[in-house]
Formats: sequence, structure tokens, C-alpha cells
Amino acid sequence: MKHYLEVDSIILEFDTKRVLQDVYLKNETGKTTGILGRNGTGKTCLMKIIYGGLKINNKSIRFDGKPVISSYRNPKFLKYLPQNNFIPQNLKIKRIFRDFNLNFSGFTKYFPEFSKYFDFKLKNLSGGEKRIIEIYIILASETKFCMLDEPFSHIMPLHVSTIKNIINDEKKNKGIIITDQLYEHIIDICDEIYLLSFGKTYLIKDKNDLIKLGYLNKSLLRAM
Amino acid sequence: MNGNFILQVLFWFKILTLAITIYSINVYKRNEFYYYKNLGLSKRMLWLPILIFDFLLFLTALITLASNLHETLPRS
Repeated sequence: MKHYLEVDSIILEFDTKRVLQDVYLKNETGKTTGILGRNGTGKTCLMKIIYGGLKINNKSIRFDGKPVISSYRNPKFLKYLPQNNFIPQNLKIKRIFRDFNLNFSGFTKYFPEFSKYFDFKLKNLSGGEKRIIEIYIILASETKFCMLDEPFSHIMPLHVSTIKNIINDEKKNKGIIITDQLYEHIIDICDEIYLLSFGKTYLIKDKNDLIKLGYLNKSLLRAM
Repeated sequence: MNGNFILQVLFWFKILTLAITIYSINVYKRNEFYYYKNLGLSKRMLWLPILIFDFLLFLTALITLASNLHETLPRS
């Protein structure tokens, strides 16, 4: 069964500066939607608004056409990977997988080198390893939509490739929204890409749109 | 200076330390709240039972202390 997540009519202001004003975003089961944008254009704020972490008056968020008013998000419907590490450092890896109702062997199929960490505390892992566990629990646990804020940062290229495989596997059952400055990966795995610029979202048809809207320059595009 | 004054100071000191604790945890552990929110536990759901338990424990201790003070103080 397909589910839909739609966002529009968002107005976000900090003092006199309007950050978001004309946003439209749609995601559905089976699709990966990317959000690109220069630093400070409001990508993380947009995700926090959708997740209910940033409360504003002007917004319209709809799950399957039904408006969501409260800031509570049922984790069976939406999960969110924030930009920074979010798992308490003292938790053991086995406890984290139990909390999210996930099988550790499913994880080690993708990352066999992690099998020795089952009984470790999270604080004993490196920054990149912690991030991989965070990405996996959000992506693989039961939910209809998940939002990933900068999942590829601090991850080595080999593991980025594995994470892209997990995203492609998981999107069969859920809708995924991703933002990251590593735009090549976003272009590679997303079915739809929106560029956030001057508070507005633009649906990107091809890479030339990214140049027209000032996100890339021509020399970067030639190198791609 | 009497027992009632000390109890009042203790009460307001508890309120102050509770406010400082809530503020500092909300600031320094702000990212970790996402772990629990992803499990369906909001900030309010995490704070409320802890604060109620802590405050009730404090009140019980305070009332016990007050009744002991009342019994031991010389009657005028």
C-alpha cells in the first residue's frame, strides 16, 4: 500500500529574516526524495518542522492527505535521523537494536566487520561507526517514512556505497527523504530532487537546473 | 530564625535546582531526545514521571522533617 507525505504553506522567520516561505515537498512509498541547498537555506529546519521538533504556526503537513496538527509524530509513521549523533553514548549496541526491534544479523549482512561490536557500548566506537549504526536503525526499523539529515557525512566511500544499497532496499517499503551536501550521492539515489533556494523549493529536472539556480557552477558539472 | 523558615528555604532551593537540572539537560542532551522521540517517547513523556517521582519524594522527606521539627521544638 502506498503512503504519501506532503508539505507546503510553511513560513519560517528568524527575527526579520524569512528563511522558508514557498515550500512544496512530496514523498511517497517507494521513492527517495532529495533536498539540496546551499548552507543556511533551511534544509535542516524544514526537516525539523516536518518532524515536529521546530514548532511554527504556518505549516501544512499531510500524511495520506490528512493534516497533522500536533507536534507528536508516531514513529511507525515517521522517523528522523538528525544531523548530529543522537544515540545516548552509554547504551550497548544490542540494547539499541532491541529498542528499535531490529535483528543484528540483518545489520551484519551489510557490515560484517561490526559483528564484534554486539556487546560493546556505543561510546567505544569511532564517529563514523556510530553514524552507520544511527543511519541503519532509522532506515531499517519499521516506519512508513524516514528523513535523513546528512547521512553521508563522516562515512568512508565504501560504506557510503553500502548505505546507498540499504536505501534502495528499504525504499520498497517506505518513503525516504534525504538531504546532504554530497550532491553526487543525492543525484545518484534519488527519484526526485528539490533544490531549496531563497526560501523556495524547485523541482529539479536535470543537472543544468542546479547551475541555473546557483547551486553548482559549470566547472563542477563538467567534472561529474 | 525558626524551623518554618528553613523548610521554606529548602522548598525554594529544590525548585531552583529542579529548574537548573531541566534547563541544563534540555540543552546538553538535546540531540539524545531524538533517540527517544524515534521510539515514540516525547520530551514531556520522559520528564513528567521523573519530576513527579522526584518531587513527591522530596515532599515526603520535607513533611517528615516538618513533623519531627514540630515534635522536638519547645512549645511556647
